[in-house]
Amino acid sequence: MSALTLDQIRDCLESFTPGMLATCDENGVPNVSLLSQAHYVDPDHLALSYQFFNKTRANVLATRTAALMLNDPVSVAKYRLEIDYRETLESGPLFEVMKAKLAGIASHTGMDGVFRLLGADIYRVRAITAIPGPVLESRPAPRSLLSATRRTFSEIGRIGDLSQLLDATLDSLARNFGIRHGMLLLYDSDDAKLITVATRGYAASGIGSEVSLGQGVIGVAAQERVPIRIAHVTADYSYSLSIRACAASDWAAATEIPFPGLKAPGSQLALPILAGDRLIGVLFVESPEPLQFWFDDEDALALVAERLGGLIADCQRSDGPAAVTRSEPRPCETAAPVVLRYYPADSSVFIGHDYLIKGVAGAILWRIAGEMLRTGRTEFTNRELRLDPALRLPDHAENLEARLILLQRRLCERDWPLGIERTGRGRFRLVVASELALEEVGPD
Amino acid sequence: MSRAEFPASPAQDIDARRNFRGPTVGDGILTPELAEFCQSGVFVVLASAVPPNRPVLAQGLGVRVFMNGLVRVLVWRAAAAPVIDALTAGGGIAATFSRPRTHRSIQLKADSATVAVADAEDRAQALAQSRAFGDDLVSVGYLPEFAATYIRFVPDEVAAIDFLPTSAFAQTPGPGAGAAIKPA
Repeated sequence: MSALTLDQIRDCLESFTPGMLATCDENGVPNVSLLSQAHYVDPDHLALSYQFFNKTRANVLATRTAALMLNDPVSVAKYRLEIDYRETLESGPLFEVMKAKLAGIASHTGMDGVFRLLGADIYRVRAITAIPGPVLESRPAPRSLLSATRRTFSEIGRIGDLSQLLDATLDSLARNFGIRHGMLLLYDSDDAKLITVATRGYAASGIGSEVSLGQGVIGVAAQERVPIRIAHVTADYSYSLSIRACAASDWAAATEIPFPGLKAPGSQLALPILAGDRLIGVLFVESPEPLQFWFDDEDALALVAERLGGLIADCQRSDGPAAVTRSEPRPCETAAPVVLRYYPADSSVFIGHDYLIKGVAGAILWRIAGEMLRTGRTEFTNRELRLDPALRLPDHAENLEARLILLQRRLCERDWPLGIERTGRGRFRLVVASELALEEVGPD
Repeated sequence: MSRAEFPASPAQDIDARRNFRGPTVGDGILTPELAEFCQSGVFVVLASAVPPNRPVLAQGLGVRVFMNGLVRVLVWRAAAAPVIDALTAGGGIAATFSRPRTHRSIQLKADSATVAVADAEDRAQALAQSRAFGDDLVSVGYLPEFAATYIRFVPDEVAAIDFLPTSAFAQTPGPGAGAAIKPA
């Protein structure tokens, strides 16, 4: 029989069941303790959480070796691993992955506030031995992840329109992976924020809601550019997404769109979307059930996120869709004009008293609505927006398309008498179904 | 790890031993309450070491504490072979006992241990304590099928590992974990 590999027993490193760690000091005096977290690093390495400086820690630093017992969380099969200590990481992507996972484990085990990650101890695996004993028959996987990934690639690979691509990706994840709750957020590098642009499976779409870099599983995945996966979602504040509670002022609360996530999630997975070195956004999926996303699911969805990064970058380079979209804003039933209120301090726009949007997307709407009232012109181009200094568009204006999608989708959320239609590559039209009045509100 | 509704803390065991005034079991390091805890159907894991410093470990099935202070850990011979070999060669022993429902954990150590053939009472205790431990696993959320498989062993292949503990340590996760459990 050939030797066991770490990849063959990877599910044992999900830390759904306790592991045991034995060490000894320089005189050969043994020590054994339970282990809260073991993590797969690569085919030759695993990482253990370092939470307290204790006898285990002292022994490992002295002898640089340990023995580990793990079991498969489904089949119960037990394994003994001989491992050699290499180094401790006190920050960085792997540290953040383990910190998030530990928070989930702490919450699940009633140990909130007791477990704190001081470091990720990296070990090289020297030998793996199966321990004789009874095992349960494994149930076949509900789907082939490789096939689901291939079908997803095929379905999204030829879409040249960013807006359609975002929706098609979430549809493909539902169809091919059975993921019913998910969202896509795009990164706004000016404000260091992620903005929700497409969602599936929530009561309110939450389009336009924002997550700061480093905030919750989504923000940490973006900041560290590494997938963050939690099998038992934690009540730990640092990972919770109750963003409404964080609003710093009445104004912030008034211009905040509630984050649409599940109220009581069981499992969550956030994957960074990158194009080369550039952060494009985050793909986030979740489930009300715990233990829904495993190492293999993360790998499959990481491939989808990687493919998506390339496709989004292509869309942004080509300056919007060639396809034409229609918008049919509803005329107001009252004769009074619809008032568009603009607050220049943060470029927020209200329709009547209802908050619509802020930031660059708000400034764009204010700019084109003003132009329409002054000149009667309703057709605009991406190019003129890019060249308009008043809009503060960054030099690398690849996010213009994302902002137009955001604006278009926010306008579709309610029965507002305003809409945006795409009329061709890099061109769009403002459609207004009622009389419009503009009101700029000063700082006082 | 499993869910603990009311997690224990290391200080509980450290304080309890400091404040204990009565006789210990066999005049050794275990209070009657600690001995009771070890024999109540908890998770048991053993370690020894092969020279110069290669640790080995194995799971236990149950524990008996005798009046003279001797601790007997019952193991499934085939699953515990590396530890049995290391102890036979003269290695020291460490044994940790842990209850999933509270995470309460203690560790006992001794410089040596002997391996013996298990008797009928040993096998009966291994079965009874394994079942109690399995019930505890189910109570904290493991599936009954999983728990039943986790604790299953062949009674005819049980071996006994005897040692006289010379030190005890609080192993419950939290501040003070690893500190010795000893009189004031």
